[in-house]
Amino acid sequence: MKRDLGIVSVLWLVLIGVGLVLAGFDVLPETHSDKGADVRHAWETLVLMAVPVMAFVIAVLTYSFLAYRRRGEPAEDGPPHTGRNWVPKVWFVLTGALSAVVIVYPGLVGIDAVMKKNDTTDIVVKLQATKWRWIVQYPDQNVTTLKELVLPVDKHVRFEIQASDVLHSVWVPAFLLKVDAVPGKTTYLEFKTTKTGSFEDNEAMRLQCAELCGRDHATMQLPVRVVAATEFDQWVADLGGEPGLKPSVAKSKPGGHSGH
Amino acid sequence: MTDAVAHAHGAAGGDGPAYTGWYAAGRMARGVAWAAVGFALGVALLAVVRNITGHDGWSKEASICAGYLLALPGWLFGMGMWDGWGREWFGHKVKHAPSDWGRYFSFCHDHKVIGIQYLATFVFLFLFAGLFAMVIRWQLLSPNGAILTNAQYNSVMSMHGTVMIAVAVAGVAGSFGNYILPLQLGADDMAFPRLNAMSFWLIPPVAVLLLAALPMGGWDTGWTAYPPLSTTNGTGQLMFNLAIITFGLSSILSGLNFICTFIFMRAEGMTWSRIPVFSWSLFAMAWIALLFTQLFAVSLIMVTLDRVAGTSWFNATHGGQPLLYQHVFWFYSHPAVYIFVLPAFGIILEILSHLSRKPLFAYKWVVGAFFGILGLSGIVWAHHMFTSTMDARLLKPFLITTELISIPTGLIFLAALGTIWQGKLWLRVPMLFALGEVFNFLIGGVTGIFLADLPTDIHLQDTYFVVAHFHYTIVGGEIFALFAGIYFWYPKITGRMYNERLGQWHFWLMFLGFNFTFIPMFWPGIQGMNRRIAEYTPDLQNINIVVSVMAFILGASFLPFVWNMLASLFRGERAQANPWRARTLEWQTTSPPPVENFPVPPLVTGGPYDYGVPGAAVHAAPAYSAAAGD
Repeated sequence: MKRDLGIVSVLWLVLIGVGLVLAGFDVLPETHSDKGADVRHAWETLVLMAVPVMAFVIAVLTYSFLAYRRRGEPAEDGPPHTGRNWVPKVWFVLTGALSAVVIVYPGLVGIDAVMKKNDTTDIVVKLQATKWRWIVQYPDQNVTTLKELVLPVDKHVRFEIQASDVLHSVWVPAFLLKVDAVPGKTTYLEFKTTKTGSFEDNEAMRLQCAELCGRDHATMQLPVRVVAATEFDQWVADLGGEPGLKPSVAKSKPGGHSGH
Repeated sequence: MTDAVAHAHGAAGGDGPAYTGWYAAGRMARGVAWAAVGFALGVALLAVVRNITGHDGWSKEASICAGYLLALPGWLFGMGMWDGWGREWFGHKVKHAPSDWGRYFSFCHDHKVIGIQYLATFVFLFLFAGLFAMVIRWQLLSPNGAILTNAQYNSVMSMHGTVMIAVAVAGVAGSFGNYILPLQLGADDMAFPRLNAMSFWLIPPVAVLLLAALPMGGWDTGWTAYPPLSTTNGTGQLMFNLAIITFGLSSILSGLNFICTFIFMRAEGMTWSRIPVFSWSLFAMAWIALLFTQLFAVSLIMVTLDRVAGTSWFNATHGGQPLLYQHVFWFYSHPAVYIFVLPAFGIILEILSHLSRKPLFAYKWVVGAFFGILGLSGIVWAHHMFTSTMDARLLKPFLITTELISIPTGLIFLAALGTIWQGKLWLRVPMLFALGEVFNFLIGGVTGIFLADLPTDIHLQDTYFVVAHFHYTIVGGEIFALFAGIYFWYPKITGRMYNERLGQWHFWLMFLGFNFTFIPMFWPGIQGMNRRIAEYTPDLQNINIVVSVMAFILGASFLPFVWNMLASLFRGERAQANPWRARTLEWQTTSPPPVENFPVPPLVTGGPYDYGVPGAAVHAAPAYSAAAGD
């Protein structure tokens, strides 16, 4: 018993080490939004919590598989552990505590972070989803385009999203954010751009429909560019719009990712 | 006693002619004929009503619905419900199902025959939908799609998903639930044998409808059928709706039957604390099937009415609410994943105990966990809708309830690990599959936390991360248990032993093929590959090629399985009554069991898993020894 526990403990620690090394690899896309950074923190926290749990189960499973295997049919019975003792109670309390931690952080705390509304909105972009393309409008700049979504960096953005036919979903992988487009209502996504970048350098910089919408769902996508403010103004001017941002302070507008 | 039982089973008894298999073929043809008559009648009746109310007689989708409403009873009564059940209502003697091979193609009441009917049907459907998975992986070898158009891809993907969900619902519960539950309880059959036969014979129309959808262009909504897409696409969608509503009816009837069997059919001495864990898992599962399945039917009836009758449940321009569908749909479809996985837990815990020669660790906690899962399953559905723009006040409550499910699930892991700890592990094929299931479900469960937690789900929702996750829970968690059960009970069901070496090949190919397919699949999802797409961005091609090649290995792993099952049926070594020296009741009768299961009703005197417990009573008296002289 003591020997078994000792070996399993060592194996557990080794696997935790392996897990932590693996957890060191950055698997998320390069992140270009402030809320994307919150998603990142949530991801990293969950990975760190998952490592010891997974390592424990794999350690016991692997050790049992290797150490207790019998050649042929076992002649005798194993020890009669029925579990009518403290072990399930302790397990219950531990898993309950772990689950309570996950609920609070990154769960409830994270919801507040990623659903937060902008205090000030620098730029409003209307996204109209229709089979199988995106219509991008900048009401304050008086620009409409079907070709790309361009945003100034370090600005608070509000997407106002509508769908004209079926469900669609607004997802920019590099923002790590997603919200559905639902016929019959306007939905919102509010965040701040934090880093310049473009689809040419990073395929995660694209506006991708993420809710199955029929035949060309796969290709219902648009390149995304996050650029310096001056470059943005130039782009607006090139399209014949009115350069310059018109920030608005939030009154009691719905934000984050709710709808009317 | 035996006569009465044989009569109730519909086996050829002394009072009727001995029908042969060809009689079954004739009945099957009659079922098809009556279905055609019913369909024509339904269409005609609707045409009359429509003419009277001043419409054209024929309206494609409405006419199909009306025809199907009468075709379904036509099929059921024609193929055997009339002979084996309906005649009695009018004072005639029922005609029994044949007793030779034809009983597997008949309206037979024997739970063992029905179990085999389910098993054969759903293993076949699993392999069939698996071929569609191979087509999907072939398509995704190239970022622009290797072989299919976008429309074709959506149909193939939807067919794969829908059929596999059906396999997940009924593959374990329908087959082993029917075959093993009465045996483990010491009963001679299910509580309602004829209802049971009806549950099974509702399945062939489901398969026919789904196949009929293909020439109509298939359906492109996946198995989730979200409106407004599902209210505005081609007629293939209607076939899907009718198929799933029919399948749901079958599920509900089975659920009712399992519950009544579990409560009322237990042998003398089979107290609640002596019931084997697989039976407990079926009991908990059956409540979910009975309580929740109707919600799926309701949601699809609403979709059908929107298509056929011009209602606007989900049509926003006429005041409908697309999100309403998602709430009703997931109200069933999240609990449904526990329909998949509860019986799977039951099977693997059963096998881990018997083949480790140890008591099931924390038995009562496990039963409690099943009911904890059952209770929580009904109040977590909206975690599928974190990005759907539902009322934001729902987000936190649903995050909390969803995370709580990890507590009862954790107890299942405790039971599995506690049972094998210091055991005498007999690493036969069923044991390998059971241990593999524990590993797979660990990954499925842990990755589920990332999807239950809104802050990560908001990125991962609708990506290949989700696809990899649910394949870990459904294939890794349930299908591995299905195969564990097939190998474990093969000698009981067929009376022959499977080939161990081929079985081991199957396990290792499938286990490695599965993990090397689905571990890499998390990566493209995190990186930006959303699900249900025929094309993807070129940066993700290399990883998709790896996934596809591994998936082909996974697909190939079923070749030794099929060969093993078929060849062992004829050439396998004769199996003893109890090749695993297991304590539970299904092993205390001959392999295969006689029609009445136990020649003498068994008496249960001890717990099912008291391996190595000093002075423990046997679980039940081995009834076969007296009667069969085995």
